Amino acid sequence: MSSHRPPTSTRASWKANNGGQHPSDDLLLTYVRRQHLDNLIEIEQHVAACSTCQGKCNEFQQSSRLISAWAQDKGLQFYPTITNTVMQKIVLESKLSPRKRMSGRLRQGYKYSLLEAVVQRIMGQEEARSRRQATDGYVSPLSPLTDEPLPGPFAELQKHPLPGEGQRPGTGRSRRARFTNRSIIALVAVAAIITFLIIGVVASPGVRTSIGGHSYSKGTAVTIPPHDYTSTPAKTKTPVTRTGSASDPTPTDIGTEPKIWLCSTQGEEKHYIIEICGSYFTPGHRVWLAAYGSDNITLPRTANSSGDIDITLSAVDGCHSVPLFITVLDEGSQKVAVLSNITLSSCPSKHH
Amino acid sequence: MGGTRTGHMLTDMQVVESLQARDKEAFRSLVERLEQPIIGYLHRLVGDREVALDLAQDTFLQVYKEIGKMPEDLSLNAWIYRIATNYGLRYLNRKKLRSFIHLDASEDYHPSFAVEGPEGQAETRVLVEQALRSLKPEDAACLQLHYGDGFTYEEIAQILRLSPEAVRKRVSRGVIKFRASYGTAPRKQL
Repeated sequence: MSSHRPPTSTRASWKANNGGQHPSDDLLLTYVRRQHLDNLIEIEQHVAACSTCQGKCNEFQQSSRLISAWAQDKGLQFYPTITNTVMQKIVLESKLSPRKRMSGRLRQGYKYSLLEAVVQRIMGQEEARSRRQATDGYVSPLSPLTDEPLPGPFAELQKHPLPGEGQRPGTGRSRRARFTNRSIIALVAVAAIITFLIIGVVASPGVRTSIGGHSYSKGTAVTIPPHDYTSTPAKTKTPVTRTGSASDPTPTDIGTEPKIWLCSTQGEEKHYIIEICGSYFTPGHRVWLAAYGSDNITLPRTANSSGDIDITLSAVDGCHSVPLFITVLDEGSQKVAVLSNITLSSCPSKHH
Repeated sequence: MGGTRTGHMLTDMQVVESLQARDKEAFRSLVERLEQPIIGYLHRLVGDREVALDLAQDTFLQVYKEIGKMPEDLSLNAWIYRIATNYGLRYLNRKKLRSFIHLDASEDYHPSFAVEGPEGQAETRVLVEQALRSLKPEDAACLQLHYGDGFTYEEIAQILRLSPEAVRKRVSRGVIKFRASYGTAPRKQL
């Protein structure tokens, strides 16, 4: 063990332990992580001679390896580009009147707040968000994303929960906790109504058109009037020919019949992210996409005002879990569109 | 990582000048360059992909609006990470409050969410994530910036407006708490 006294700046970080002075945990971790230390040589000499500190350093190294590996693993994920959305918001915001800008700021403060949670709870949206969060934001190919009754043959699928679904935490609360929650919700709801009344008086026209609270959402296209911003859109939403995918319709194959096609980019496909786009659906109508493959799943979507739909799937098991084909059914369980021979550029053609 | 940031130093200064002149193309290239690391950082920090995408949009909008107020002693990257961290921490604190009064369902990760992978890697990933979620948001931000984005303690100190000693203590506190949580996490019976 070293008998040197540490310099003033880190002297407080040396502590007496087991009959001698050892560097504190934060100094040892700093040493392990090779960060700047005023007294590096001294700590190095101490660690070389002290088995206790060597043990701690090993533990820190082990933990650091775990965290680094996890972070690297997360770093491999591909995220959809937000550049166009941000640019569109900037253009829109520059056109807003001061009053609408103010309401946008209010919406910004409201976002993710307690008040928003209360409102969402009241409106019954909280369940959907919790489910999304539980699956880490991915549209899971393992479970339907809705509690609403599915049509026709999918009603049976919905009756049987998938493994782990029934064990999700937070679903089995006690009666007392629910009563407490309801009381709190009722109280906060009154506050919410008063706040909304105030917001309504100050900036009611801006609340609906404000962009401050506009959030990115899968499956919901950002609706920007075409004359507002004319730069390249983030993703093509019309059928296009792409090499390496047999399922795409030809560019001339544009009609009025509903159709779906694979619109994920090469980069997304590399990360097994499958994006399905659809057009010519009845605006506002609900459809169900049934994906068949190693897992059979159904995903509901509502066509936007242009009659487009958009769904992103993550093939969590790689090529193995890429669906064989996808069928779109309307509310009467009628088949309205089919996408077959789904092949990702990153998967061999006979992956199934 | 550090090398990349230094390499952008001159460009960043030019970008700042362009942004201050409201050059939209300069801003577009900045967003294109930084969107993936910022979304990735926010995703690791808040643990929700959709929220991370949303917060990243807010971050860049804030950058565009407030570019005139950027501190001169800070690099553009560090300043953007500071804004992203503020948004991330605000979200986490609000989420904590919502969970406290049971408005949010518990979002603890459960081993049953794990995707089976080779050699139990998937379970390890879930347990590491679960342990990281148990940290204080401020400590978690330090850990993510250091381990995830490769920032040094001095750089993190700049980003978070702290002293390097405070960062040192936060990272250490975070790792010790992580170790304790990871060590006590229930393992799946194999």
